[in-house]
Amino acid sequence: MNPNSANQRWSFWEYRIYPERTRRPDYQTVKGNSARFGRLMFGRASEMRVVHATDTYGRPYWEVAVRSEGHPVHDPTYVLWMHNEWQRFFQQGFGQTCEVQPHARLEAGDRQDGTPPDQLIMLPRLHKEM
Amino acid sequence: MANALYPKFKQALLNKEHDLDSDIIKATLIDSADYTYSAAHTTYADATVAAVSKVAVSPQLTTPTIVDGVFDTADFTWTAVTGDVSEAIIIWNDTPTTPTADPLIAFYDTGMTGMPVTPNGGNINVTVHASGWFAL
Repeated sequence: MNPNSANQRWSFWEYRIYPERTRRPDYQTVKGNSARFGRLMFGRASEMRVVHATDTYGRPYWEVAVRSEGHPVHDPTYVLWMHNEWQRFFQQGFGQTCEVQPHARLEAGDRQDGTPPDQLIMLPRLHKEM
Repeated sequence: MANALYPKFKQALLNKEHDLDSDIIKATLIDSADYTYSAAHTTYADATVAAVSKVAVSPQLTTPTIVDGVFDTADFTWTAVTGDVSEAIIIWNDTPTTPTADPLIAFYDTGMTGMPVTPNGGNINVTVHASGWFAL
C-alpha cells in the first residue's frame, strides 16, 4: 500500500461511544457488528480497530477507528452524513441515549482547496529490545 | 540500517536523564542522503545530525504516555513541508535549554508505510503505531 500515490485519498474516522449504563455488549459482538457496518459504509479498502477502555474519569467507552481509501472527507456534508449513519448504528447497540463523539480527518490526498495534497506516513513499532 | 534506539539514549534513561511523558519530545523528518545513523551519536546538534538533513521538525508531540515500558504519543503533522526526498525519522528530546545538548532517542528508516516521501509543500501526517513508538 502506498497512501501517497496519485489520485488516492485516505481518511481516518474515529468514533468514541459512551454506552448507556444498562448496555454491556461483549467485545466480539461489538467487533463483529462494527466490521459488518464498516464494510457497508466504507467498503473493503479499509482497516478497523475496536478498543474497549475507560477514560480518565473511569467511564467505560468503546472506540471504533477506521482508515479508509476513497471517501471525500474534505466535504463537510459527506462527513456529517457519515457521522449520522454511524450514530444511528451505535444507538442500536449501545442505547438511544449513548454519547457518540465523532472525529474525521484527511490523512493523504487532495483537499480540493488548491493546497498541495496531504501525505501520510505510518510508523512501525520499534520491536522490543532487551 | 534497521530502526533503533540510540544506545546513548538507553544510557541516559538509566541515568534518569529523560522523563518522556513530561519532556518536550519532537520528531524530525530526515534526508538519509545527508545523515547516517551511528550508535555513537548522542545529540541532535547540527554537528551530529547535519542541518541539511533535517527536512521538517514537528511541534512537541502531544499526549505522551509511558505504560508498561511502552512509549506512545498522539499522531502528528509536519506542516507545509518542502525539501529533499526523505527516508527516515528521528525522535529527540528538546527539553534541555542548550540546543546542542538535546539528546537523540530513536531512529526509524525501515518498515514505514509511505516512505520515502517527497515533500510537495503540503502537510505530512504521521500515524504512530497503535502499540506506540517503542517498548523497553
